[in-house]
Amino acid sequence: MQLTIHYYASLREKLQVKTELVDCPDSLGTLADLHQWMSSRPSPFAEAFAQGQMIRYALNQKVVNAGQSIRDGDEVAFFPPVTGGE
Amino acid sequence: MISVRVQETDFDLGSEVAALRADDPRVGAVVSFVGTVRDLNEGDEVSTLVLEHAPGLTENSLKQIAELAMSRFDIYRCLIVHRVGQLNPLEQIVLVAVTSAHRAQAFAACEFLMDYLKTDAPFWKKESTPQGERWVQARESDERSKAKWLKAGL
Repeated sequence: MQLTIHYYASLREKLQVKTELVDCPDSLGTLADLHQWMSSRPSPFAEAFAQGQMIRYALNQKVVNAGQSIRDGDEVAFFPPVTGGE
Repeated sequence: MISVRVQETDFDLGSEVAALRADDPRVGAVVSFVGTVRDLNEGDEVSTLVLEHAPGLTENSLKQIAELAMSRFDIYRCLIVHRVGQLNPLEQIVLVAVTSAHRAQAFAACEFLMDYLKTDAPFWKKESTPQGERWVQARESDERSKAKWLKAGL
């Protein structure tokens, strides 16, 4: 399936990518599956998405959990834990 | 009624509160919170802060947090204004304000909004210090603050 993926903040800096169009296996059902698949991509993705790295998710402009299902054409965002407010 | 804004320009607390409670004789209480840029963080001087957000996503998240507060508390109106871009010590970062008939619900809703904003709203702070640039780390204490609402069934 094809996904549009956005990266924010320190994650964007690590990956040196702001937005990309990604072709990934149709078998990926959830954002958790996608996260794991991202860790199988070459460096720097492997390190950025390695086990234990704190990453949050959004799907089609809404913040969601890892268990959220993904479909072809979806817009995904990966980002570090947030630090807004005072 | 909900109003959320993400903007670079500064806000004026007085006029925001005036607008929030305007023409609403039900209102007996207005509670507001203003977050500002502190001068020190982890021992280094904060020279300047850059606030990043995710256009579209961030506004949706703030709306969702505000809607949650409206559904959980007996309040009339809810306002969130969050600045982004370059900010210096002493500058205002965020305003959260609510109106209600009585103060207890307004105080609680305001605290709720900030606790959720701190853990859920897509903003990221980058500090520029004399030692170099670094991304501010999320705090465990913020997760615990949000957790207390979940424990309370909110």
